[in-house]
Amino acid sequence: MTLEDKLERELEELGSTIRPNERLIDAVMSRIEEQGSAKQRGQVLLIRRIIMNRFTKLAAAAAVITMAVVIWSIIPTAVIPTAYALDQTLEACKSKQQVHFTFVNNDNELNKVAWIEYGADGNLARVRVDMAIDSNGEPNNVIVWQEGHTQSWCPKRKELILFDDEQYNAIMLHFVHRYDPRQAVEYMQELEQKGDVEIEIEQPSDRSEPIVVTVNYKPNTFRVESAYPMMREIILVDQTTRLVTAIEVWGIGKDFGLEEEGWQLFGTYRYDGYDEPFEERIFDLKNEVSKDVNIIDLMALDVGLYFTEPNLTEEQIAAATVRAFFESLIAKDYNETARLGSITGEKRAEFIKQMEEMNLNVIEIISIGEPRPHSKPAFGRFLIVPCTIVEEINGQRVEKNIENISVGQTMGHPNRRTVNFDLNAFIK
Amino acid sequence: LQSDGELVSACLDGSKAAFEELVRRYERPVRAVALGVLGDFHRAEDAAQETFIRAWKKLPGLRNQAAFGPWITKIAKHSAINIARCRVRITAQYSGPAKVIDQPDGRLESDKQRLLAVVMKLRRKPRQLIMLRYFSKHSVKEIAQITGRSVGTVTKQLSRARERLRTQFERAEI
Repeated sequence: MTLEDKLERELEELGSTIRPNERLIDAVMSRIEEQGSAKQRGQVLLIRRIIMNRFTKLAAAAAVITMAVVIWSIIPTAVIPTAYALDQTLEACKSKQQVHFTFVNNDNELNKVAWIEYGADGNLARVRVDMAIDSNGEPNNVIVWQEGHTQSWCPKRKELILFDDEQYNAIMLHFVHRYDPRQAVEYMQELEQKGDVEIEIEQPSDRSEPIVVTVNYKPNTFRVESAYPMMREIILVDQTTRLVTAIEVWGIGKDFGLEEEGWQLFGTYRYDGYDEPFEERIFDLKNEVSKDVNIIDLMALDVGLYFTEPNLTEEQIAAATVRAFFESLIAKDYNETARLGSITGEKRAEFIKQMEEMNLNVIEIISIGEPRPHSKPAFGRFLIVPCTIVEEINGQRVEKNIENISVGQTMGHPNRRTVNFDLNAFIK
Repeated sequence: LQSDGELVSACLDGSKAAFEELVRRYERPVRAVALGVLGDFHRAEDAAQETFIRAWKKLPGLRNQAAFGPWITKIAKHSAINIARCRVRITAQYSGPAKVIDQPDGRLESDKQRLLAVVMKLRRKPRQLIMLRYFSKHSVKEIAQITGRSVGTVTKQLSRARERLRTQFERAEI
């Protein structure tokens, strides 16, 4: 049997394994039938809210008031909800110590899941963030932060990295500032007082429907850094508990490079649990990682240039680190070069071998230039340090200007700096 | 047999019968895509149901109505990934996508799962043809009507799709 025949037969067999499923078709059609003509009810409602102009709003408000009067006159015992204000949500959130949310994008794909926990003193105690699986269905990174200690698990690289870092504490606080509904609402109120946002509240008379708070940001005032000027958030608040159940993030499509014009839904934060105690074990990734995962404790590693002098500027430290880096190359001390580059474990041995094979012959540092911020945002606070060195090639002195070497804080070490370099790019 | 584009157009005019025809046409390819991600017939069925409901809601946004097939399979993949991810969240354990084992418990046999994985690696259009041919059991003539192409074109494209599949099949050493 040829491979073609085998393939054909196996395809036929595979196809036959997946038999027609009438029950599925019935179930789908039954659900669609239930939705009736309002097949896009949820979306239509939101879009209607967004495009509703002032006139129709007033007309709708008048209609609601009229209906309310009629209902009141017909059913005197009906319960009319208390008028809503954002303060009620802040009050409701105040005592909540555990907040759990998921973020889904506009295609309803899960983007991230997070657990945020405050201590009894109201300070942030623990956070876990699971990034969604990637397009291949493989698990993505997970980060756990607990009182300054961070665990970062990269399943693809099979690495669990442990570190303490003040910069990372700030990142975590910023994350919570963005996504915890209490802090988000507080910030929105501050912006409203400053006149940077307009907040509209719609409170349906049907208590089973959520209160809808529409927050229109003035250009470039969105509460999270955004390259796009026009942003809007729609907060859904439970009528009974006054807690936020979802925050939808909208933006102007054109500004996001989308084909469709007008406001577009970019994603939704769904808050599906308040004060539901988290399992202890989810805050220690060592409980979850498989045995073949490489656990790297950055605090225990001697990497990067260590400095103790308190009054040095970042630029001075960067220049000193680059000087140490080239001195290690001149001395052909590639273990030191690797240490300054924070290259560890098996990769360090590979690096040293590669360096020895390159037969690099740096003989002199001519100058270390003025450090400047890195042009690529991905390098964050790294500083580019331009320099000029001399390399001996075939008995000749060859002067080289190096422009792609940079220095930044070693992860987990406030007092250490790491050199980022690409030997292939600048020394051949 | 109406083309996908015609059926989508009828759906947008309010015909649920047209949508039922699309569901009937694509329920097996959609379950196959979900099965490729989840490795489990029962959960693939859940994903398929969610896929069609989402498709019904999002149908007005489908710009190229003739591209319903590739579009629905993309939704199916995302729905299945969501289901896989939710399971992970609940258990807070990361064993990756469901592992396939040879058991009569609603899971696909391992060799079939591997073949399905190879099919899923095909590009959108050849994958659609393979699925319509082998999963939905349509003839070449019917596929031509569904996709709005000529019989000759479909025959050639199907042949190329099988060729690509064979190449990947060899690479995967099945």
